[in-house]
Amino acid sequence: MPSLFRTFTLLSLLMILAMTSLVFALAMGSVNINLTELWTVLSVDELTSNQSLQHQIIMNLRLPRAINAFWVGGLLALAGVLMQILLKNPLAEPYILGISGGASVAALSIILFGFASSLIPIAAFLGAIISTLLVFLLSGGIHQRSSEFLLLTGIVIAAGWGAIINLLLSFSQQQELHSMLFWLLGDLSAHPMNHWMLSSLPLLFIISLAMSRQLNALMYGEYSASSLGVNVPRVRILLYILSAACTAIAVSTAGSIGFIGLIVPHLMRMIIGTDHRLLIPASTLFGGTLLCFADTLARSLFSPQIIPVGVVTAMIGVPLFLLLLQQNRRLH
Amino acid sequence: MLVFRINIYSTVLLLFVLIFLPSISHSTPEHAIKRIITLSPHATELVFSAGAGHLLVGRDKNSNYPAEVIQLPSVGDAYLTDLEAIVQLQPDLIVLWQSGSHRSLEQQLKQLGLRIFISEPHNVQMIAEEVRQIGKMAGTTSIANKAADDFIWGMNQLKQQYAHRRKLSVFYQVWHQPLITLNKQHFVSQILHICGATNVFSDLPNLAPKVSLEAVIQANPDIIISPDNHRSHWLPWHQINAVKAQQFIQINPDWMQRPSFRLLKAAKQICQQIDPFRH
Repeated sequence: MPSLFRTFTLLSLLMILAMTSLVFALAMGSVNINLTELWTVLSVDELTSNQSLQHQIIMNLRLPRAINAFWVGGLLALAGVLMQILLKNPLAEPYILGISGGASVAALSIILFGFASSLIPIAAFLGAIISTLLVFLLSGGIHQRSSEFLLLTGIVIAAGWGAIINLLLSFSQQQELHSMLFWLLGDLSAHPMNHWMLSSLPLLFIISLAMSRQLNALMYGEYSASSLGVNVPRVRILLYILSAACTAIAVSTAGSIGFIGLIVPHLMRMIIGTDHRLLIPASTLFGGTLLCFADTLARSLFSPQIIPVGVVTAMIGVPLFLLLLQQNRRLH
Repeated sequence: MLVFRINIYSTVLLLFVLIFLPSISHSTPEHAIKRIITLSPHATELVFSAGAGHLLVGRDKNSNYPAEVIQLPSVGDAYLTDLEAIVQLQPDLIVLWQSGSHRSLEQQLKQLGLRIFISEPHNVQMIAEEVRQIGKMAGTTSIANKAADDFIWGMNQLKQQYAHRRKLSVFYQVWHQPLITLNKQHFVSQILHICGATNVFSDLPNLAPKVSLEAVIQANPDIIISPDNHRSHWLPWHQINAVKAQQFIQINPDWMQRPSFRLLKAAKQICQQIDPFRH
């Protein structure tokens, strides 16, 4: 049981990091904008401002992208925490059950058949939902079988989607291939989140947080959890719905950005322990922060050229993770 | 004695013939090419420009110019190539675009004992030179050389007319999502130069770099040239000179992005459409 002081300190630290990442995202880019100019843009009333270049770049390019990155990162990390509990497997991550595969097949089809690119998020979301339902029904529907059964079903469905993705890629022309590969690697610039999607993170976060005591109980095994009065089948279905919703929204906004959903929950567990009342907010905050930092670096490191954001998340995350793993080993 | 000597002489002669005949037949001038397969659309166009179009027996699936090639059998493309279809067509020359094909394809074709001509033209001069080479192999030298001379002459005419005029900066947009452009190693930059324009991203290290929207705003080009009509994408960014003055040019990518003689058509269009923007 974490002390109130420790909880408060950790969360404030993560909050400060999150704010820093957002300021960093707004200040960095090909066009040089210093902090005073940034402050002017942010403090000037939108109606009175005369739409300067700085104002337009920050408000129309950097801010939507930074929010996309923060929200997608948060959703993926939250989904990762929930999936790892649901599947009782440390390798579980948001994409493991084929949700991103279904979304990818739908999104790539839209690109391949030349439909308007504004349809991509809708198609991806529908693809994710179809895949989620498919896995849910095949793994027993409302009477869910074991975690292993769910995991295997999901992995096989994901492999099936993977094959269809390769088929679509092999059918594509050189030009569309750029868009398709870019989408698959994760692209935070194309589709700013609407209000619906923005409100989803706080909502899903609060529901997950409300379940954190039950999740703590579930960590000791389903048998112990049910003896502690947890309705295990219901919690597992709820977990599945929550993690699928997080993943579906993240994937339909930004394609499949790897790594965040796997590594952030583990990273946070190493730092703050396994109490979900703290783990859920910490992972969500840090997931958003990490992706926001990574995306800023991805578009400014080799400016004017851009590199895939997944590369940068790995460049930051892998050393950080290994370092913490080594320290934890020394403590044990 | 004489008979014996003649016998020795004839034996030696026979031995000579037996030993050297195979190598002599090897070193005789190569027979002119009779059956060609091209594995990229630009290669197909080069073969036709060289006057060897009638020798073409197969093509890659994306070749679409000149129109009659569509009737020829397709052997796939440079990534998914149907080797059996190639062997069946019994070509004696394959024109391969190496940087646009699968790494192992050249090796595989060589192992099948096929003769390969690698077409990799990076500029106007190399395009003309390759047409001459194909003409030489196909025995159509006079047609090929004439076509190559006309192409170079046409480019030189444009250069004399436009290259020295007031320089305008261009963002060449290959693709919109992500934004992809081309650097100075690409022949598109050479065409811009001929027309008296400069490529704003010519100094980037990659041939086809992905750039951010912000970088384009920063570069502030006078003109945006693109194969597709993405004018509406740019409209919010009226700080860019090209958007402010509505200086967009749409160009057929088959003319502009294939290293073939139709590049001259693209160059003419670009030179003529850029010129009024100088006011």
